[in-house]
Amino acid sequence: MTFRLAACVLAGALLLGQGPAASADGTAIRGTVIDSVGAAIAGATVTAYSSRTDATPDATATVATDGSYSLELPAGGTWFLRFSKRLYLTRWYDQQETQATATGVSVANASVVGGINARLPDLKPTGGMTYFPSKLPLVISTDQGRVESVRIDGLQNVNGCACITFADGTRATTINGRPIYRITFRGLVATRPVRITAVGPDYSLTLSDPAGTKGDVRIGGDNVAGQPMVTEVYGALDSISITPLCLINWASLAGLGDLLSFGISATGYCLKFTAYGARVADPAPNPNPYDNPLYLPDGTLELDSL
Amino acid sequence: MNGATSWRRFALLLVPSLVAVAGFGAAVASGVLAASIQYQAGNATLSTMGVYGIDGAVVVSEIERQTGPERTIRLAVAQALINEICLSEPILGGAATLTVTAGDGDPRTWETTGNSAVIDASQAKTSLAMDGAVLLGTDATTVDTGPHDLGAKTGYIGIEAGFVDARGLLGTAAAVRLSGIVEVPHITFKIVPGGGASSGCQRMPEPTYGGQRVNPPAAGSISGVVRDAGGTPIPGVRVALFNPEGELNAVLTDANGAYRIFAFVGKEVKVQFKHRRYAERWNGGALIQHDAHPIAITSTATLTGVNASMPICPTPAPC
Repeated sequence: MTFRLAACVLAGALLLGQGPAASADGTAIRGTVIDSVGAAIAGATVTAYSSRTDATPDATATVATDGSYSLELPAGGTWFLRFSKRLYLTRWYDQQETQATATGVSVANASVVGGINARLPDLKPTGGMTYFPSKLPLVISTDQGRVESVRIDGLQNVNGCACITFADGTRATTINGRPIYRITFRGLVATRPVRITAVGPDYSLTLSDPAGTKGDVRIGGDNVAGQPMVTEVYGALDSISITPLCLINWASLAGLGDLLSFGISATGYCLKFTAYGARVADPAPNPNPYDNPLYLPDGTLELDSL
Repeated sequence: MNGATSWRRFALLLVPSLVAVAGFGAAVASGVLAASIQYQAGNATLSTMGVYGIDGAVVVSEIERQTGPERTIRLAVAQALINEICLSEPILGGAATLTVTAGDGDPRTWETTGNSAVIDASQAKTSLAMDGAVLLGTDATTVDTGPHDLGAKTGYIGIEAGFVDARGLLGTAAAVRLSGIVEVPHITFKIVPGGGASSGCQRMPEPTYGGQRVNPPAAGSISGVVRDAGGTPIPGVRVALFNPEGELNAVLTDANGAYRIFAFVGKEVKVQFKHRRYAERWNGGALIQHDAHPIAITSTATLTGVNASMPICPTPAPC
């Protein structure tokens, strides 16, 4: 009899304890994570740290579809909570941008503190970009080509940051140790071999064209109305030359300031740049006939394991 | 963004290879409609005069093989059109080659059609043209080209464009999938002795007729502005075109809530407006796809004023 009663009590306790909340001793923090207009951010991550300088998380929870979370903690104390999700800005409790300024949440052993909510603003691309680039640098090079003009600007300053934003919220102001510029080409055409390569941790993707037998490669060029198409590159210029040899290293031109603009009307330059992203667009898109701002008439796509 | 179908689930069906496609083809004969056609987890030679689509991408992705995941170049297009296609693979331990071709033999027509086409290749040679705004070096997980799941993982890189035109394509394909109602005319099968490259598909020329480049069918467009109940424009609304067979392609509204989306002339489409914070709407204010009236794309002109008003979802619950 006694045994049966114990079993019933235990079963009841298990049923009652089935909320996603309780850890072994029942210490937990609960709340909701919503976006800028109050909608739930399902799948967001809530992470607890034991201090404003602690780099190792002690507990993690995932936000449910209704926006709620229940974070089980190893013990009572003061906890610093981080709320994050791809394509949202990370926030620390209470709506702080950094761990160093986070407000601690005090919770006693075996008790639950509720109402620890967070609101995450949308992550927006910055620096003048309209999309989120991959973190892998893209190397674009050609041995010879022509361009109507080149303009080099510093990155657009958005909310105090002249930087590139990635989808996970991290940012970059340099690429391979050099400052990132927005380099705008008009009418960019390659007349000799062109290579666009992305190098990953253990792979490389290459789009190339020998540009000879089948004609020029447009990475811009002109549209059917004769207007130059625009190539915006977010990265660093490695080399540019108006001779057939890549003699001028961009590094030697550094220090000329953030803003440069020059035109190259002659053919016969070589060009190489390393970028997080590039956008090639027709200023007056006309689907019929197609202007094709990117055109590799003799293209090859290759994926290599490294 | 995730699409409506799970590519991974398909890819886990291992090694049906071309033989399965042959069986499928024999069952449906030529010129018929199929829900989808797929060839996967093999190492076929793929050749086509041209693959064309509205809203396309090239991303690095992965396919599942018996030996584990394998990295692949994934070429995906929505509103897919294919001008002659050939797939071949050595069989019987290389003693013979099985070749499957589809097409009408006329370079002027893009006769094989589907709502989307996805090709996984390890390498490909092609005359490649991309139109609209071409984004090089995008985060592959943020690329959205319509209904197919690109299977992209964090760290992979992509190229996205409004129009993708790959001509005279010859490559090594691990998987080919066409989805939506697929029209595949004149499927033929051939088994020839020998397993060398000369026994299978050969590179086809780019489509020309009378010495002129053959262009794919013309496209028109639909544009409008999406606002909330108070009249404020909503950026980032996913605007997607649907035909009775499913989704075609999708775009996002810009900072002013405006969008412009393309479709081939001759299509009849319904327009879906989706945003995680707002209640879903269809063109004409319809709440569900069934109630929306199809819009006919009759010319290359832009059909303006296809606007939407989306009420906000109750908070914090999702709509």
